[in-house]
Amino acid sequence: MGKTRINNRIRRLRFDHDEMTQEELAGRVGCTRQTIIALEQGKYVPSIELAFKIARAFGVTLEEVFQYEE
Amino acid sequence: MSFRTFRMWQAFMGMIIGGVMGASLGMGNWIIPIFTIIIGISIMMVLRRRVKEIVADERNYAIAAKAARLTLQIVTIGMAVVGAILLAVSHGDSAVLTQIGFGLEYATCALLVINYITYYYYNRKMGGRP
Repeated sequence: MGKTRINNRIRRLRFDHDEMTQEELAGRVGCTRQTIIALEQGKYVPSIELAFKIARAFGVTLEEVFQYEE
Repeated sequence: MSFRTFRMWQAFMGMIIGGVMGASLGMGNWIIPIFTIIIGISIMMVLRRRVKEIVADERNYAIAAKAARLTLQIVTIGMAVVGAILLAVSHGDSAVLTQIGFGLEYATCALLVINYITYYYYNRKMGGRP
């Protein structure tokens, strides 16, 4: 699975939120750490539900986490 | 219980079940292996529920679905081709090759029918038209 057209700022947002670890974020949104790693590397596109959970974990909107390239 | 501990128990139970089954079948007893498998699966299900970590999420399921789909394609095509070759080579003269060939072809059909049924089920469940 190659790079997707959906970018995300998960890594930056983690650092901006008291340097949250991947493990902590995974625990908050209910997924594995491997999934967080895959998301940050752009190798996996989350479901809408997981995307909303991630945005809610950071207290931001969906667009502030994920961007779709035209 | 951590997932690592669960995996250790899983390996341990696998060794126990394998040993009991091997010994029982060696003595010609087929009832003990059946109960062993049932009890082993029950124990693993109880232990699995005690694992607090998230060990499988949507990404794992997506990977499993892709792998299963590719496996089905490879296996059905492989079995169909090998079965056809065996039937062609046997010319009906070799009973063994003919049986194996037909067995592979029928197994391929069974796999495709089961796949069609399960696909139909999930298609309906997820809002698709029949």
